[in-house]
Amino acid sequence: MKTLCISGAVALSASMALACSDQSGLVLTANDEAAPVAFVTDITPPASVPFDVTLTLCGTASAEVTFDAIMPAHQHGMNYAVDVRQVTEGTFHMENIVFHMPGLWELQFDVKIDEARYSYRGEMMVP
Amino acid sequence: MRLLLLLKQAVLLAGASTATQADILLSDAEIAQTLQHGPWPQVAQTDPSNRFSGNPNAIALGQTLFHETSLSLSGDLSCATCHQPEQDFTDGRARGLGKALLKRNTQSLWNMDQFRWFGWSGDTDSLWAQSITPLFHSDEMAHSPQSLHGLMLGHATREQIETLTGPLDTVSPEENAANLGKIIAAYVETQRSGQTSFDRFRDALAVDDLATAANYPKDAQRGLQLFLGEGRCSFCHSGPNFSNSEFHDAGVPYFLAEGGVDEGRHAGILALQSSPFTLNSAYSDDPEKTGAWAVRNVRFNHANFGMFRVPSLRRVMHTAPYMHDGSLPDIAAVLDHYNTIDMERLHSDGEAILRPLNMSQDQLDDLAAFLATLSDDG
Repeated sequence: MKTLCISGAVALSASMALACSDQSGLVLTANDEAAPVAFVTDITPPASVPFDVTLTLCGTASAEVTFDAIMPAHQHGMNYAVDVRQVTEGTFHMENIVFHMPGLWELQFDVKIDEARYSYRGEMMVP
Repeated sequence: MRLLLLLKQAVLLAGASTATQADILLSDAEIAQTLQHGPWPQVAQTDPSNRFSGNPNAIALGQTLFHETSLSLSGDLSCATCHQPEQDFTDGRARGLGKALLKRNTQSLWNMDQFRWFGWSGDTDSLWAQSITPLFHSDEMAHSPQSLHGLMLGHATREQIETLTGPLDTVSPEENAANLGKIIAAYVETQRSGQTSFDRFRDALAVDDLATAANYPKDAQRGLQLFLGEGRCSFCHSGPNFSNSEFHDAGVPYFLAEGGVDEGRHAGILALQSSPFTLNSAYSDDPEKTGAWAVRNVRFNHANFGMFRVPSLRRVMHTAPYMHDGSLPDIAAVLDHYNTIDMERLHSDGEAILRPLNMSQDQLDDLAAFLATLSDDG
């Protein structure tokens, strides 16, 4: 698992505010009501072919983000770690995700913002 | 009168359409799943990590080297000794025979450009690196980089090789090996299987041509339904090549008859991570290092022990015996294996995919009929 840490407080940018006003992606479920709204690119992932998604954390300039995914029905995860990098304030790019089987996958994000830690979940169906 | 005739024709056409639809047993969901297994053949692409990929001179020289017994230290083994082109690049044996009995079944070499990993345990991440492996294996061609370099300096093909690579005496033994692997791979990657009756069925479904799709036999359709559903086969045998190119525990024993174990993917990752010949290495010709993410990011898990790469099912009826150790002599034995799989053999903390299928003989026959339609491309 790879983690990218962007430290330091940065003011909310206009571009990020715009991104969060247009939540056209897959909205993630957080474990805490205080967690910022988060969503990812809403796509249909290919089976066993690498793909990328972008995570948006609304109202968040910097964070530590880790990503993993599991296939609950089969009790297994991914065969590869995923590279995570911050692309702009509040947006993070996850590269070379491989869901190696068709079916339902659960996306798992762990996010650290300052001293607060949040977990997010989402689901994607591989045809 | 004319109106009556038109009415009769309309009734006849409606009847034909209904009959055609009745000939397609698959549900809409199953048709959607079926479309994921194509189109075929896939568009051939050159390998950016191999500068000889697609080069006609390299392909021709690679074919020569593939059959060249002088590439073995003993002078009596070539790639084609085990990967016999007239036997679908297999040898028909349970386990390969080099200078000694090898641990694993000889895999076919069709459609190698469709895989992410190579060999039963994925020791390599490119076809050219895989082509080097038997050259240095002590029970196969048994060279060292130095002895192979020395051989090629005096080899009959030296001039042809140098036309592609430049002077042989200025390259290191390792670079010489990488170049040979790439030339052989340039030939092997051209071995692509053709369109089968399944592919014609799939393509007809893709364009709603039910009349053509109806030519696909009913038993194969029932087998396809089992393959996609109750059999759970398509979880691993996915995509146009009927392999997800990843590793799974199929419940085949990994103990060797002569003692010891075959660690499968566990050993494969260790070999991969210690190899100088990966897509992330200086021997890759791709400045973008396309595909190197896999070797950089592959996870080393406890469950890798005893896992082997999912084979493609294309031309599967021609590549017996089956499984990593060749322990199952025919397709009927493979289907029986999954029908009565020993759950005690599987990792207790492994994937929850396999379980005894408990299918009837008619169902197993249908599955075999479907598999045969992946193998009838001539």
